Amino acid sequence: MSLDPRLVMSSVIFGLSIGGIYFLLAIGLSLCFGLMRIISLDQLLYYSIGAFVTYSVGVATGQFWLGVAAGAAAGGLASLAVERLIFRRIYARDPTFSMITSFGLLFGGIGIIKFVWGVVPRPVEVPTLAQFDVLGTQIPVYRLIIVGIAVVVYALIWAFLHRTIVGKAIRAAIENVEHVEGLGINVGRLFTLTFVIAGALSGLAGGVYAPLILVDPMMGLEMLAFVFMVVIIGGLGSIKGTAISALIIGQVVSLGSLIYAPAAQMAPFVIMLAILLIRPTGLFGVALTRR
Amino acid sequence: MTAAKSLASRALSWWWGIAATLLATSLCAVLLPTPFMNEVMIFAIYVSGCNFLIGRLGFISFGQPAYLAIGAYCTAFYLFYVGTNPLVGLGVGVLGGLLGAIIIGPFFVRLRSDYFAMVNLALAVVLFYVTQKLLVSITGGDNGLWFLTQMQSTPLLDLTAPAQFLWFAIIVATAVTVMFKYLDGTIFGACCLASRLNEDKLQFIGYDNFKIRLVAFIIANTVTALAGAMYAIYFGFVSPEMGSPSRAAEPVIVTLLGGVGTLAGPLIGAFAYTGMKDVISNLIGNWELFIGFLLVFIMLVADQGIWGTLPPAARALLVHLRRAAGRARN
Amino acid sequence: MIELRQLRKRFDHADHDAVGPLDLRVPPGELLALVGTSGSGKSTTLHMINRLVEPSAGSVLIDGIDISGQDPVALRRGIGFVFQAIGLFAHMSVADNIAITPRLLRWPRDEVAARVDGLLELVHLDPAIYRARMPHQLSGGQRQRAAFARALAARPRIMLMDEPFGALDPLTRDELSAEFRTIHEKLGLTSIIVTHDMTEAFLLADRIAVMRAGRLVQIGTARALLADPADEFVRQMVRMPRLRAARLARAMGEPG
Ligand SMILES: Nc1ncnc2c1ncn2[C@@H]1O[C@H](COP(=O)(O)OP(=O)(O)OP(=O)(O)O)[C@@H](O)[C@H]1O
Ligand SMILES: [Mg+2]
Repeated sequence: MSLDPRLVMSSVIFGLSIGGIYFLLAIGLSLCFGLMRIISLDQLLYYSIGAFVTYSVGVATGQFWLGVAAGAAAGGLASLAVERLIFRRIYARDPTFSMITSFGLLFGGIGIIKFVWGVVPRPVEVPTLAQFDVLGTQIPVYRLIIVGIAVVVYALIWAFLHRTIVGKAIRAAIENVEHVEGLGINVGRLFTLTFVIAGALSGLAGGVYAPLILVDPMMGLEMLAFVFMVVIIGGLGSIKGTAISALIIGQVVSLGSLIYAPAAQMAPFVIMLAILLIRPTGLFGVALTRR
Repeated sequence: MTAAKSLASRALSWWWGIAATLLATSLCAVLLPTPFMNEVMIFAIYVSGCNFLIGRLGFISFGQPAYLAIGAYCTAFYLFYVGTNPLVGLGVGVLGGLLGAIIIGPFFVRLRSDYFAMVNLALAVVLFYVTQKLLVSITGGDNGLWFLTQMQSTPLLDLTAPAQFLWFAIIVATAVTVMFKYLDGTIFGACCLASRLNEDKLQFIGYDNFKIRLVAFIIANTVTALAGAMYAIYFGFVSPEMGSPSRAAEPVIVTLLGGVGTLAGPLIGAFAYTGMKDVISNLIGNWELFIGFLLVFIMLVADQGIWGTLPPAARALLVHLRRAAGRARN
Repeated sequence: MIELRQLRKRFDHADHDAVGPLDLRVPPGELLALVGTSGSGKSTTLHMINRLVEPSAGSVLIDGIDISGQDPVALRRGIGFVFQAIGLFAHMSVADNIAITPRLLRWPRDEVAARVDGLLELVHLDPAIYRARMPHQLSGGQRQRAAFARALAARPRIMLMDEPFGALDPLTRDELSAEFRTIHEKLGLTSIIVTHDMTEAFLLADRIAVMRAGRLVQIGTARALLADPADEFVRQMVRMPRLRAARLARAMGEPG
């Protein structure tokens, strides 16, 4: 089979941008697991909220980027409320417990979204229609912007965790939460902070992805399985692993659909199963201490 | 007081429980609409597989639709392409589920429980795409496979007649319940529980965790496939929607609703869930909102489920009433 | 002052109490050694004092105040804790490890830096050399010193140490425990130190508490324990140093 190199080129860019979205979503899930040992499916809810808020603010003000900022803020706020009201009470329990609870939150949240925005899918206008010429291929600039945002977020998260004392404390708590607690550090606050960062990033992901899809209440569920795969392949609790696996899955989905569309949706699962067979904790999964 | 207690405990003792449940179910079968009861019974069988996984193994699976779909499609393939006897179709579906579980099990049961939950969901998504997009030539894609009119009636209980199918479903559900009850009493059942509570100790005593989990996994998901086969026969139709990952949480929710690990849990949960779904959908039309927050509520407040929460509450109420009555007499 | 009253702990799924009921008073300024066989509940007891483990029953009082009503975070800040497995954070330099609590408390930077240097000097690690080192670049004894320094960082008045010298050679062990005794006196701490080594307990502590199967068997000075052991178990424990000394003498006396 011969492939048009221009198609391949645009497909690679497409894969990078969708990988960027996966990364923004998966990083929160991964950090929350690493630190609090919870599986926070409700991140997908903040993703939907981010997209809807971006839509509404965009319609009201005509300002797309203002909408994205508001979407990220809304994701952060919603996650703050959820952490305070619900997750606080279940940190001590088994991870699967949090998985069920967060699934309930995701579902209930979808209900709320339906209540507020209705079930009709909403289009969000692409902020820039500019194209960009790479080796004779027209690449939409907006896709590159998404990739750029993902890269910046990665850098910021990295700097936060490696260069600030709070970030270092978070890493220390991922290593051993009891030792951090024993020093008289308020790990509850570290938990809240991490959860809110995750929620805001999910909101951001929803906002920036909104122009490329139709914003509808079920968008979170559609994304769920892919984010899962990214997190599993990367290994729960690893930032680098999450980034690498988001990159891989993005390319598999986009290049795969170039080769044989129906298989593209499935290929990531096959990869995931294969990786789990070789390494049951994912590519970069942290060795977990029992709590 | 003690007499009442011993009576209560005897009524709750399982054989009595099963007989009573059977009676109550039969009564419902006569009184309530047949389609509703049919769905409840099949759903209860579906959930009992999940209930076994969670309650006895401590493994939560968000991929039950996958095993349901395996059973349903195997039955459908037989009835659509090969034969006309629904009972044989049922057998094919169960066999398919058994084979599927034997193939998938060894890979999955090695995983830690949180990965297990996620990988199962992933499997459900894969199978959904397989049935919807990949094997369209065989599965008919979104159009599904229709074979309602191709099924031949069966003697004794005619499975093609909904009213008679219901009795068949009740018998199957009872058989499944009795099987799980029996398993609980065996060494295997004890090992399952032990493996749930303390993995290391079990290995120490000399039982192989992997094998126990594998067998439990196969049993649970063969039962799930059985439910899928029954759905296929009851509707005379299968489509990818049946195994849709968006319904992945249903069996888990219903298991929790009914009370994890209890024998009557699946039936009670299925009853409550199906009933609520009908009522709520008609009333407020926003099913997700309700079920989502119900789930959160269960997890935070009543994680024993209906079956686990109500009897103690009823007992407390009884004691309270008794005291009040005693005071009134004095 | 640390006071335990009818303190008990039973873990989930356990069929007996890991600790208790336990009554114990550690007056201000005392250095108490907690000894007992493995699994006798020493670590659990320490963890209950700074609320890393919540007791099943009974209470812990610090300076006469029941800690169950206190904010655990504030409580822990007033208590230096050295874990059984040292627990320096692997990805942080020695200075960061020591400074983490003060910095999260937003102490001024220069004050934190001065504190780190002061503590490193206190535990005899040259700040110029060791400040920037990572934990894996330290020897076991040096790590232990750094862990001390970290436990002292927030100016606690109480020190709890869970087998701090467990994995050290005897010479370093002796040296460190003697140094700790000096620090204990200099800072006016009230300390509990868990140890397996009876000799160490004799040499270091004001009083010795012997635990078995979660209960306190006897508590007293080394002299009291030797003179009047409460039961056979304590007798065996306190005779250990002498038995070993005797065995040693025999081994020396009869070479080959
Ligand atoms: N988190 C826990 N969950 C369940 N049981 C525990 C837990 N921590 C300790 N135990 C049990 O409590 C008992 C006391 O343990 P503890 O760690 O306090 O002993 P220890 O005296 O410190 O022993 P060692 O000298 O070996 O450190 C042990 O039987 C142990 O198995
Ligand atoms: Mg210990």
